[in-house]
Amino acid sequence: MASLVHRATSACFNYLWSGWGAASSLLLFFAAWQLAADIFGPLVLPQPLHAINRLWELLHHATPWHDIAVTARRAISGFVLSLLAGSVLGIGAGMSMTTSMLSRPVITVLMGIPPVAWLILALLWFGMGDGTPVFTVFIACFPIIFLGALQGTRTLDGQLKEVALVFRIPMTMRWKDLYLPHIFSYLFPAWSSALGMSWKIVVMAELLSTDDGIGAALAVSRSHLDSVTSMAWILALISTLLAVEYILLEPLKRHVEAWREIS
Amino acid sequence: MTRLTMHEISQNFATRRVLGPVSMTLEQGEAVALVGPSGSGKTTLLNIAAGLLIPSEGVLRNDFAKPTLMFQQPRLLPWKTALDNIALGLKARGVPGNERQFQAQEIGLQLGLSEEDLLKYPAALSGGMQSRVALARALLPQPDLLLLDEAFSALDIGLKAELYRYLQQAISDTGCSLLMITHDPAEAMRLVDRIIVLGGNPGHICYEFHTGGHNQRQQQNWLLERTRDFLGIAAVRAAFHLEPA
Repeated sequence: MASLVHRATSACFNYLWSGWGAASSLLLFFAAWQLAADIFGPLVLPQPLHAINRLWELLHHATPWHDIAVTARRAISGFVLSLLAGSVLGIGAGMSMTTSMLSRPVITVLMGIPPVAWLILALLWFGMGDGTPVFTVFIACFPIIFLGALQGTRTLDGQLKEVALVFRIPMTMRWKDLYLPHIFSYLFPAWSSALGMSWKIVVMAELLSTDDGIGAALAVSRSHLDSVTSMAWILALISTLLAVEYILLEPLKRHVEAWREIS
Repeated sequence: MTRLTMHEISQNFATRRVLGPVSMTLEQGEAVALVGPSGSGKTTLLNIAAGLLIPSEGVLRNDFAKPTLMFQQPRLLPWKTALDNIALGLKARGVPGNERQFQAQEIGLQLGLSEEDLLKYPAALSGGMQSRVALARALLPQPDLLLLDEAFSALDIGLKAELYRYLQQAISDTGCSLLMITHDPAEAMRLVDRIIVLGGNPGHICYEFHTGGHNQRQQQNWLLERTRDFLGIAAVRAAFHLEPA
């Protein structure tokens, strides 16, 4: 028990300590931003402090929170749909040589179609409203997750299957203890890059298709030539992305893939 | 009587015959080694015995109820701790968590792993430690037939000697039968009753050697003498493409 507490605290400390690298590179980024703002002037690029102050002001009102919630709802719906469909179909396709060979070119085509093209189609099919951004997110994330699941399943090697045979492991346990952990090590990176992507794509879709959400707010500030507010929204986007990455995904990854660390 | 019988077994990969026909029997409590040059079909024969490969021709009869196999590489599950890896066979049989952890810990400690090692993942263990875990995993389900595929070939001589001692003890305690592949005649001499020499292409049985000397196997002189006898046999030398003695 004591060793467990010790391990947990030292893992936590190691994680926080590794944050110094991230912090210094972020600060360098802000410095470069400040420099560019000084050169080009406030209309082209507002100073970072102004943008941060504006964001702070914005967050004291109710509407921005509503917009953020709407955007998050759309991004998460699209992401969860593609996570479910991509994982299940990818594993299914990976189980047979034929289906994996058949699906690969289709996935390559899907990956090659730019999200903005999907957006145009979605506008025609779903019109203005939730359907368009959710679909665009779904269709952009789906091939990434599908491919992760497919590769994970294809690389289940004969060696693992022989271990299962030799120790007469029953089918449910085979999946739970042998196959799924292996597939998961391919799926997890795919999920996390798809999550990041869903957040970016939803804003783009909103910009062109809805009248609420962060994307719509950006469209309004742009039409007012209000570069400080635009920048404030962009900051809000990036901070939520970073928060999800470093508060949720990274610790989760360290936890589920602890076995990869050579201690 | 429990035994493993192979009758006129052969194996083709695509159109090429790699093994056979081979006939052999392994009785309960008997220990047999397969030796032979690379490509003589030893691993193929072992995989057939383990049920991992269905022979192209011939009849296999295996009466042993609980065979286990220790692979050439440890083949541990990287996402499970050493302890859970050892307990794998018990888990497959539905032994409850506490019970199997207790048994796995016991055999792990006997095989020279520390409690701390048992909580580590395989990536954090040295090659020797991984082999100890793999041996423990193969022995814990109390097999009645243990199959070893060059399981010790990558280990240092000290660790080999230690694992041999443990293996001999486990075999004499449980009466488990042994079928092993090895490249080391002295290793075979020490652990088994009968050495089967495979050779040729496709592989077939070239010679059978009865080691004898049940009580003398620990003695270095006896091992050296018997190994010299074995390597002096013309058929054995021919199988390994050695110059006649």
